[in-house]
Amino acid sequence: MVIQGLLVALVIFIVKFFDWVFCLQLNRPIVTGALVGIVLGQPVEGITLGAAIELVFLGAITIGGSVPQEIAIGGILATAYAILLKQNVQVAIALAVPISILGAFFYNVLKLFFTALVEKLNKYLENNDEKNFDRLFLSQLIILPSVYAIVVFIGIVVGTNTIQLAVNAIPPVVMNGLTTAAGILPALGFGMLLKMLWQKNIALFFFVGFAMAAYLNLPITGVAIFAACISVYICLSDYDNKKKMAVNNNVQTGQTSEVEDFFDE
Amino acid sequence: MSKNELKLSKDEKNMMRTLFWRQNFLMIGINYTRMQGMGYAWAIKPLLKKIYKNEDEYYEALKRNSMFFNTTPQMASFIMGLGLSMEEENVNSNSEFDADSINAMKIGLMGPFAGIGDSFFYGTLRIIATGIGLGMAQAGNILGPILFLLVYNIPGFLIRYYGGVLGYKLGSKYIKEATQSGLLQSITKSASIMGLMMVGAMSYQMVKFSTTFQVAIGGANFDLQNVLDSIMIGILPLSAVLICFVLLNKKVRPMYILLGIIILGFILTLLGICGGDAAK
Repeated sequence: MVIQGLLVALVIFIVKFFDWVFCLQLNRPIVTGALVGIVLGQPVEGITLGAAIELVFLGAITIGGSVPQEIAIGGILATAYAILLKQNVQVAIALAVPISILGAFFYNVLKLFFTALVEKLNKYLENNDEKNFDRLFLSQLIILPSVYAIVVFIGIVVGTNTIQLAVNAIPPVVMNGLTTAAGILPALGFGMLLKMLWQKNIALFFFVGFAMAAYLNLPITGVAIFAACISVYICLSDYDNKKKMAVNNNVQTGQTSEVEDFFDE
Repeated sequence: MSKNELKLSKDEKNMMRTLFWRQNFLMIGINYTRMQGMGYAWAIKPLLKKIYKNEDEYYEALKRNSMFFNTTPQMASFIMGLGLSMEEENVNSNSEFDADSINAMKIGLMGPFAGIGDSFFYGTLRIIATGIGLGMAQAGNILGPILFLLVYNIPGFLIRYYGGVLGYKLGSKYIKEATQSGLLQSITKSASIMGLMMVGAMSYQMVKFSTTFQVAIGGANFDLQNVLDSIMIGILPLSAVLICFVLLNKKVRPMYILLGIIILGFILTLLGICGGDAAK
């Protein structure tokens, strides 16, 4: 189990490292499933497991740095357990949900640690000490993936047997409950997106999109094409209106300076 | 703006290349107090050094640029480019330029840019990319994840590079005009409209919430899901999303909602309302 542990830890190290730098979305289960499958020698299983877990986590979105579910840990450990213990997709999903929630607690603690480092970084800047600033700043890039790798390594080496016992002991009703919950969970992610996008005068477009999918059975790319055309049209006509209004205003009073204020603040 | 205005000299091309490489590090050390602030400062550090020859002024500028900042990573290079052109203005105009206006610009733009960026990258592009890759991944084809990564990342990196160039070359004057004339607000509004429609469609397709409750009443089979469907297709996923939205608006923490959903899943399954054989 030690070798498998090291391999899976390597996967999360790479994923976290490159995601932090380039934000490639390597942490999505569709990608991590494939990577875990490859290192554990079962690429096809890994890819299909990843695809199934991705569906559950599609709505798990990080906005403004708040993470209710840590999808990298959840996806990677669940895929690895399912492969190592020869379990099916349903078990992988049932495992991914609680693991990702625990992972979110872990990430929040880690973020506290980085918050504590801000003081130090700031002090280096106050002292005109560029070298130490660089060193500490870049060391963060190694710290985060390493901590993740250690947690995942322990999770595989120590956890696999425990998970095996747990999976065998879990009554089917718990399994079904978790599956039901996993199906509803994306609602939270969409609620978060809604909160960000919601303005009273355009809110009805949410229902337009919903009806397009529910009643016209359009696939998501189809909805995207309609949505893109509608929103570009609205942008152009909205801007045209504003220009006309600005001309009228100019005639009457001269430009308002709200924006000026905001730049001069 | 004509094409000539966006042409880069050799020096500027080097600058933009540095910016393109460095802006990737924005998310490093993201934290509660300053979010991406330190990453922002680190990203533009070598360029600030070129602008400010005096050491004290350089560190002053660095500190100023390490303040609170948070936006979609792909959108940040535009703001960085714009900020750098303002820093140059600050040096060239001696004491006439108010350096605080740079932070005001950053704070003013990061919100609308996050709105555009989040709804485009997380709300739209990622979902389309997943849609393209998922079918193949479900069949166990490695092209699935690869296509997902390509579709998601290629536009992102184009925006990261050309955003920086655009921000730097257009400069603060143009942005002021764009904000003043309402162009920026129009773009933000239409990006939100697109995002809302996508979230609506996803709410139906990706929230798997249906009941399997059936009772035989006097020989007739009563199927709850059929009744719900005849009221409105997808009424359960729609209400789930809207309830989450209302709770979030009431400042309930996402973690509590998450635990609530899990408890709900158990209760509904125990009562036999969900999770029967017909589920999914």
